[in-house]
Amino acid sequence: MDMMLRSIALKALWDQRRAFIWWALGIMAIILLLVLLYPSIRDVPEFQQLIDSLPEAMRNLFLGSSVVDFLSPTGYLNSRFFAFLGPALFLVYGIGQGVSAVAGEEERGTLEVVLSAPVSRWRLVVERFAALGVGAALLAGVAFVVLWAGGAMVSMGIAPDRLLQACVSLGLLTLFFGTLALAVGAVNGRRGPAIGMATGVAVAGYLVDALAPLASVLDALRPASPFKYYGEAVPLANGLEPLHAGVLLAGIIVLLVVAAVGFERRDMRI
Amino acid sequence: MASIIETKGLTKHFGGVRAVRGLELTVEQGEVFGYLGPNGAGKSTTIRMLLDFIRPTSGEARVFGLDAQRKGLEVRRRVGFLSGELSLYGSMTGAQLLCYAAHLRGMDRVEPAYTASLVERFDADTSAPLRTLSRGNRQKIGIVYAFMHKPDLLILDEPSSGLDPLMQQEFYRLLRETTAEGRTVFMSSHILPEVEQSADRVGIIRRGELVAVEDTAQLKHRSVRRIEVRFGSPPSEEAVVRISRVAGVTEVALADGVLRCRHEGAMDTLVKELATHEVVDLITHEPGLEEVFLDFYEDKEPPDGHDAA
Repeated sequence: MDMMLRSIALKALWDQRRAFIWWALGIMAIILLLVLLYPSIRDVPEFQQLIDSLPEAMRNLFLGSSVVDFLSPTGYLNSRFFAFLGPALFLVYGIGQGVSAVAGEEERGTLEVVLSAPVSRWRLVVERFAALGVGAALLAGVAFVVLWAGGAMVSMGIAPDRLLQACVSLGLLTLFFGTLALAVGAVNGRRGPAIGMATGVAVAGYLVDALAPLASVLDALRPASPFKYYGEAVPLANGLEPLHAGVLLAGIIVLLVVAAVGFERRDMRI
Repeated sequence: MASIIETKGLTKHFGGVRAVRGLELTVEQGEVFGYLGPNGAGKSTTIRMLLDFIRPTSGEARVFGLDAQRKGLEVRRRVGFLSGELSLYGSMTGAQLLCYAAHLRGMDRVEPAYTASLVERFDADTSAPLRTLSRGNRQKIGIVYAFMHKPDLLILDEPSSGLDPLMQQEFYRLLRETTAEGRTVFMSSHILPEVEQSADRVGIIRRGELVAVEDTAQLKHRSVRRIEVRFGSPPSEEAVVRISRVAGVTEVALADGVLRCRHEGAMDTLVKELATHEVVDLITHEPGLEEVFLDFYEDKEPPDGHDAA
């Protein structure tokens, strides 16, 4: 335990432990359920017909706009987990952690305890961000291990490196939205706007990305959606697209700088 | 030796509210400076500017001769802070919080033995989660947190609130030890006895403005007290007139052989005048700073009514 009190980042990581454990358990359970159901679904061709008969908008919204063969292992995992459910679960976690990184502590008043010590504000932001990154990476790691092990159990035969790359992409998306929440909280000091802004961008970004193939207006907006860089290239099928990962990474760095500069410049709230 | 704290025209507006205006404050090395004012007078705002939690609208604050904003990190390296609205991590124990604090401040700057001695002195509970502790017991952890690295300057916001009287005395002893080592204490309070007991000088702040700075002793000295004198035999009317002419004496009343009056300033002349009669009993009601303090407020009603947190 004392080891975890050695730095702001380690303590922030330690503070995540309860939320992380519950989240990890939940994600494990959901993934196992999805994966273990696969053999029974694969053998029912009517599922493909059912999906084909869905309105395109609905299919895009819940199964992903780049849905391939739904009953293939890749198509199944991509549409059942990576298109919608995975990001939804991961983003709730990432945004929650990003909000509490600065704004949550500021509202509770505990930030004064840290900042009355010789700790600069940018260092606080960077260390909290590091803990956020480690949390997102660990959660993505849990998803990878369970997907891989579960997939092996039912002989899905998905290449582990593709699976890993899809999980890396999910981790990056999580960190992006976590950092967005951290940045809004760092600039503003309130939890409400941080939650609202990060969630709003996530929902809007998701809708734009999912429905882009249906409307040219949305298609024009698609480059502005973080989800484009997460899933358009379907990392599970094609591997991580370096350019897309790079865009997410650049976005994360920009948000981190905004957070540090914004926090450095403003008055702390009482 | 330069002043430990020096502010020049320090001003802070929150929106249209002027929380602190044109503050000119000097705190010298080795003193306990009591920063006195009612809630919302601007005490915490001043403290938060000294710690660079908030930035002045205009003017500047220097601590150890360093700009509190630009050299905030160096300043805070040598400062111990106890917040008035102490919020500690509720799920941590006191021991964990102090361990975390030691790491934040640099392990080479904190002697574990000294920290342990403070914990013992204040009988602080370091094993229970902080959220389960009473206000007073949390305050004890806060005091250890502020003092554990032997900082050159202690900035304490309402430090003894919540402490029982025994612990308050221990706390005042700790303050005296601190200043005896040449270290400095800047302590805000709206609880007057707190300042009366421990401060060398008092600055009184009202609606964001520093109204007065006085030696604690002088402030009391200058102040009003109520006096009761019982004479061996009822004094003559002339005697009463002579007494009421003594400088500083007002509101003289004689009833049942007891003379009551209000007196302001040094007592020498009055005592000598009284001594020409047979005095059976003399009671003076020591003024609390409270009365002194209220005098300041009553005498100097503000021209406008802006108040601030």
